[in-house]
Amino acid sequence: MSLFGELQFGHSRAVSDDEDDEYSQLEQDQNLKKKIYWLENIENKVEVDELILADGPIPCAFLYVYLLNHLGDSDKRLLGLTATNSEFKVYQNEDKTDSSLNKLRKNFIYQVTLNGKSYLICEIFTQLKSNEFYDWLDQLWEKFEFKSSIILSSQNKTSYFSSDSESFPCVKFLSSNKNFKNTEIHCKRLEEPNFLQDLPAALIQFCMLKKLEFTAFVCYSPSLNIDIQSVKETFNGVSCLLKDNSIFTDNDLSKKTLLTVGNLVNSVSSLYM
Amino acid sequence: MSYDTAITVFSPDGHLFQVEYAQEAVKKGSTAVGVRGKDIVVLGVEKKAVAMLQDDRTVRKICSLDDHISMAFAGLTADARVLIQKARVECQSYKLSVEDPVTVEYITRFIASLQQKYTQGRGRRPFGLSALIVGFDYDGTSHLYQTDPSGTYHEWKANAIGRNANSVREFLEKNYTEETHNSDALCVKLCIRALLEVVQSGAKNVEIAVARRNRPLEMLKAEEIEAIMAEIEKENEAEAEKKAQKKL
Repeated sequence: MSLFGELQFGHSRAVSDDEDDEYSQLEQDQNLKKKIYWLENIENKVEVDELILADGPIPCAFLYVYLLNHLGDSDKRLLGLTATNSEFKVYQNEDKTDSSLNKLRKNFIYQVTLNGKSYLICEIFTQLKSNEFYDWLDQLWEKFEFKSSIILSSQNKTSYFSSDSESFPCVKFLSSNKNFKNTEIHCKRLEEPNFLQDLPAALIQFCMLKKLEFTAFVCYSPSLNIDIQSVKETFNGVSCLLKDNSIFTDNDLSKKTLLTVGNLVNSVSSLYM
Repeated sequence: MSYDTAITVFSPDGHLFQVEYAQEAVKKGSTAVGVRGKDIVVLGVEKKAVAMLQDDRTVRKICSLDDHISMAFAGLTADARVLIQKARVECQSYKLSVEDPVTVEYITRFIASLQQKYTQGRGRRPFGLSALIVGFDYDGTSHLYQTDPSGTYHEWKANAIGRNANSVREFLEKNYTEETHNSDALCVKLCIRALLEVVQSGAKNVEIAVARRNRPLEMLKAEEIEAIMAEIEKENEAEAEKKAQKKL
């Protein structure tokens, strides 16, 4: 008991059980942290022309519908995935003949060659936490060097601030390329006080530090899940701005795939009907 | 102070967050479409995939409230069951008291008032569903109403609720005409075409219910839906060919 009457715990030089708990907590935190697991051995740093990052369900669906689903196995190479330790173990053990649509949720990293250019495509379906961004970027930069990047992200319409009324979904862009003189309806510049956050913001900061070009698109969607109209609007906005440089395809296959994607990843529980 | 943990508290900028979150729950339900014609009202819904061992009779998005009124919903299944039960009791209670069947507007107002009550009570959360209520009054006029978790209701010529409702509503706005209003066949076709904007083709993926004056609600058979879908497919191909020829 101290002078003031409260009980104080005795001190001991013996190693307490609490320290073991602390170590196991650290280990648990490491197991829960997402990082890149490379499926191929990449010894030397590879140069690619462009990095395409899709952060969130809507951008991932957009990439799948308008790009990845049109590519054959010879045009794309699966290089790795972003996962926790346990997620990676599950991936290693599961049936690799899994349907293409289920791959949408797996945070894969592909290398794609198209029209003579090489692209590094990173899907982040389940978003990373703030303590994972910079480690993830460092891991990526360690293996790949890219000259420019296209960043696709989505936010809920409630995070959009403007004095003008806007119809949702809508797509805005932010670019280091000041030559985009945009007067198109489908893609306007992201105005203040709106801002990008999470991994897209971290990648923009990274590009600015490394003096790389970037164009970031953000789709403001009325829905938190994959919404067909939001994915279509992302396509309109991105292809409007990129025009002749666009590698995204809109055809009958895209339309059919869009319907299946919308139905797959939305809730399939009996809670909702 | 967190303004979204108690529904009775307004945020400084006038939001009732729990009501807005309930509207998000509606978007998690599959799509339902309603189209109103002069002599017909059509309800179409995206069919939910049923587990192999589950009896699909217990998985219904369209249900009758009375002989002349039906309803489709999108959102929380259990909330819908409770609301439907209360509405059915009210329909019968009204008939016993007044000796006339309820009007579509009356039962819609009842459902909407119930939904509104749950946005103001202590310790209760809003109903997480929107409903499309269709039917004919005793004077023979057709009606299509929509309610939402806030307790508001409006009458519509055509509307959609649930997932991808915005896409479907845009399609309906472009394609609903006076001709559609006057033709039973065109109403059914428009409903199916609207659903095909967001649902994969195939009668197994949709359910269509047709309400006509002085007749019970009729569920279209799979063969009938397939026949209409085949017609729509042909029309789309013909239009695509026309566009291709125009470009040349």
